[in-house]
Amino acid sequence: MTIALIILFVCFTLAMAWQTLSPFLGGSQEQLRFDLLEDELRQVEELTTRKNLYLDNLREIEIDRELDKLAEKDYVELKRRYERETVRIMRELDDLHGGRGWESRVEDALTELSAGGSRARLPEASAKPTESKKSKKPKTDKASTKKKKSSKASKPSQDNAVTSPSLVDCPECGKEMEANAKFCSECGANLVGLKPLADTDDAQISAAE
Amino acid sequence: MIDNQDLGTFALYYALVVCLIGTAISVVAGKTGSQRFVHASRFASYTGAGAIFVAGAVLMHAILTHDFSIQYVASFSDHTMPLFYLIGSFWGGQAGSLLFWTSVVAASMVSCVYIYRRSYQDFMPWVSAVCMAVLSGLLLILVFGSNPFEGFSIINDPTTGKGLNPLLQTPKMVMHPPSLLAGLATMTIPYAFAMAALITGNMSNAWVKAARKWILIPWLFLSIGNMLGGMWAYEELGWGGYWAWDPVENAAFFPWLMTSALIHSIMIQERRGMLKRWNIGLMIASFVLTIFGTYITRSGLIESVHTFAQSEIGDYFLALLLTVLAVSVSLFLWRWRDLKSDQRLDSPASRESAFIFNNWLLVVMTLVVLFGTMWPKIKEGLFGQEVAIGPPWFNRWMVPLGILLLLLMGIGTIIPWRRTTMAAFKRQFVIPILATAAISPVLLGAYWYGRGAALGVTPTPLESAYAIITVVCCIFAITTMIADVWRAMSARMRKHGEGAFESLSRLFIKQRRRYGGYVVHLGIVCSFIAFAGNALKIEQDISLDPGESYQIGDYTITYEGLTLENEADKDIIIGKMTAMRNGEHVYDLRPGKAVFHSSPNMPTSEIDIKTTPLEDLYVALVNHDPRTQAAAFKIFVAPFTWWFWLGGTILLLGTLICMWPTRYGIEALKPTPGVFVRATAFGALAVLCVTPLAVLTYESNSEWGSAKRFERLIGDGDGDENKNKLEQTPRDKVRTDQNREASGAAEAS
Repeated sequence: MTIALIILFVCFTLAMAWQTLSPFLGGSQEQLRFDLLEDELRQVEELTTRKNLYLDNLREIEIDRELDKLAEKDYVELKRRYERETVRIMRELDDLHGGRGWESRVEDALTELSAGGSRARLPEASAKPTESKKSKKPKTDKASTKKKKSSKASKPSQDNAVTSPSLVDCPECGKEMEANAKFCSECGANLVGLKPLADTDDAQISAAE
Repeated sequence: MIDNQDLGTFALYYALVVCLIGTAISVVAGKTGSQRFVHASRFASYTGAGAIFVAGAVLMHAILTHDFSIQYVASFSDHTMPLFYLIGSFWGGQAGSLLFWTSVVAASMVSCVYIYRRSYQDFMPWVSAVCMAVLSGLLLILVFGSNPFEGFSIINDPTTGKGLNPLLQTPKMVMHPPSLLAGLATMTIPYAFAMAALITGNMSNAWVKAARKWILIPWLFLSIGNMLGGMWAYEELGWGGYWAWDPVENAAFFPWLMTSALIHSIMIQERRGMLKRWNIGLMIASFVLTIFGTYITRSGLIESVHTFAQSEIGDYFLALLLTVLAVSVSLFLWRWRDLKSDQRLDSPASRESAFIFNNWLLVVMTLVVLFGTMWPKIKEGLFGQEVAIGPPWFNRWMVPLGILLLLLMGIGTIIPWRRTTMAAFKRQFVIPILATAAISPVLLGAYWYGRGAALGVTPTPLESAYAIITVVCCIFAITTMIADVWRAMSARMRKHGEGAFESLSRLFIKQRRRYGGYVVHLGIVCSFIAFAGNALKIEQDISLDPGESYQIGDYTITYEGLTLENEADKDIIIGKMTAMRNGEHVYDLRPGKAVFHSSPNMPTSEIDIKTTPLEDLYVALVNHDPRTQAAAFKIFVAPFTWWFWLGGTILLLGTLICMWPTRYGIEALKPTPGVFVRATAFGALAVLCVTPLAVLTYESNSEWGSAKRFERLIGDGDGDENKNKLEQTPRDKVRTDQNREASGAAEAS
């Protein structure tokens, strides 16, 4: 029994020692990639943890107010502060997801084009950024700790990009938002009832054809 | 075939090298933020820990396979010891307990680094660096100061060992050292976070948020350890009480008090951004006190019952202590200006002030205990005078401080944040105060006329005043908690249309930190009831001839005579007694003394304690005259002692509720199956928490707790069997002893 334990721990130690050395053993390209990839994951995890902490704090002060342990004035002040912080973090998360996803979709489309894709696919490719942006939102909200999956998850949805809901421009600040968004993530304006841009885009494309 | 000595020593050296390199890698990772180095630092910590675990497994293997070529194994175990005590001998001596400590630091470092592998990335390299630096220090002591794998150059008798100290051969003592050591060791993690905050200059609340659950872990283990230690002293050592202000007990009590203060003050920092310096200071003090406590215990600087842990490694611990102190204080002073509070105290009548006052009290209590522990030694060093500071001195200070703390506990539960208006005061305080005023006289009167007066004790006015105030404060604390929980429940019932039970359970699920804290407070209140009961405690040292009776309280104890039993490894002398109350037989008492053949000069007590929620009847056989059968006994009746153990158990369960991981916490454990891990880990901890009370209750109500169980060895008292008892083999005796098997005391071997 104890022998098995010793063997187990020896194997564990050796495997971990190998892992310790591994980032320094590859070529310079691999080492660079290692630094960049890890960095992206790190930021998402970091922001998610902080967001969760602020959400917990918000819940705490709600209860304190209910129990008369926090004066209304203090509650409002704290709530505002926590909300501001939470929104700021969520916005950073959005940008991180959105920005990178957008770029990779554009890259994919370009690669496909340069590989000899037909001209007819151009509209489809141009619609992809729209989709990629949409596919990120639920990920951020649901389990943002699972960021790794984000790039994989967006792939299958690429195929039905045309059928996906498209974008609207915020009437207040002009930020591009998903058509099903109720509020603008930048300025908080109400977006309910706005007509999606993609409808008009699609109409224009079909008219051109 | 590699032998245990070589493999174990190699693993220790390897761990030391890895930890030193790992510290350097982590420093680079922290300074540059390079992900390659961050990755390497994380895995270096796993590697170092792995090597330490290998050393631990090798030592355990050597003990279980009786490899007496290793000095440690020969000194603390022998062939006759059952498996349970063999495992206990891992930490029964100096070197093994140090290796155990190191392993716990390593295990907690691995868990922390794994759980935060993707978050707190600015802190984590520094956390690894600090943990691995501390591990390096401990490993240096292990390798050069007291290597558990040191062998004999010439083996005197390779077939046997000396065995574990008889005093330690009780189940409680097998569990007490590892709990306490785990408490001291796990303090490293929150300390590492505080250091990381100082190094990175990130003076926001981030370190507090990252470390807050890790602070509860040492607190939990220290609580379990102190409680089991108290139980051991109460039941085995014959001190007559669970706490005697022994220096080594105190050494484990300082960090507990300090951590209790810290757990409260970090809430103020989280909520209001205040007390930043205070928190860092408390954290450093808690960690330094854990090492200080170990230093004074192991260097032999102070004398106590814990002499079995003394050795020559005191100087190493002093060096570690001074290094930690110098580094921590320098960093603290360097960041002093940045640690300014974000906000100021608005009003003295606020929750913040209550918490701050609570912190002062806890720190003053720590200083009092520290002074009481060290002053005799300092005075002896300075003036050559020997002084003794005993329990009365400690009680003179600690009782009023404790009562104030209890009062604050009630106030702190319901007082609002920032300031208390008259309207808020009325809403929050009036009902609890009225309830306390109504309930206290009823309960006190009911006890006094129902039971207390019958004990025939007249406490001094001061003792009575302390006891009555304590009970009143306990009732106030409970009513404030009930009022607060009721308010929260009714808010939920109104808002969500839930039933009473549902709203209560949801409160505990959603706000486990807050309501877990209340449960801990409830445990403290129960313990204070036990302290109040001491006012009516009757303690007598008496000498009785066979057939003689003695009146203590309203019990009449009759001593019938002595019997002697022989076991394979020890002789047991048993005093037969009966206790009557109001003419009715209530208990058969069997206090005894066991003399181990391996240590004939160190007899151990088999104290018989009959415990009920109202009072304990405690009888210890102190001395006997084999010729006349006259015997000396220590007997006492202690009201409400049971509540101390109950309080301890509630406190531990409350801590578990606070520590129960959140959804996010579980996510961080993935890809391991979170639910399974959570259920197993917390199930095991919950069992550990309840065990002491369960064992106590079982012992009190069965023969297992007294020397009576040994009488069973010779059957039903038939004369022929008595004659044969010496011819029985040990194995046969084990078979006849049903109680032992039932209690699982691992006599199997």
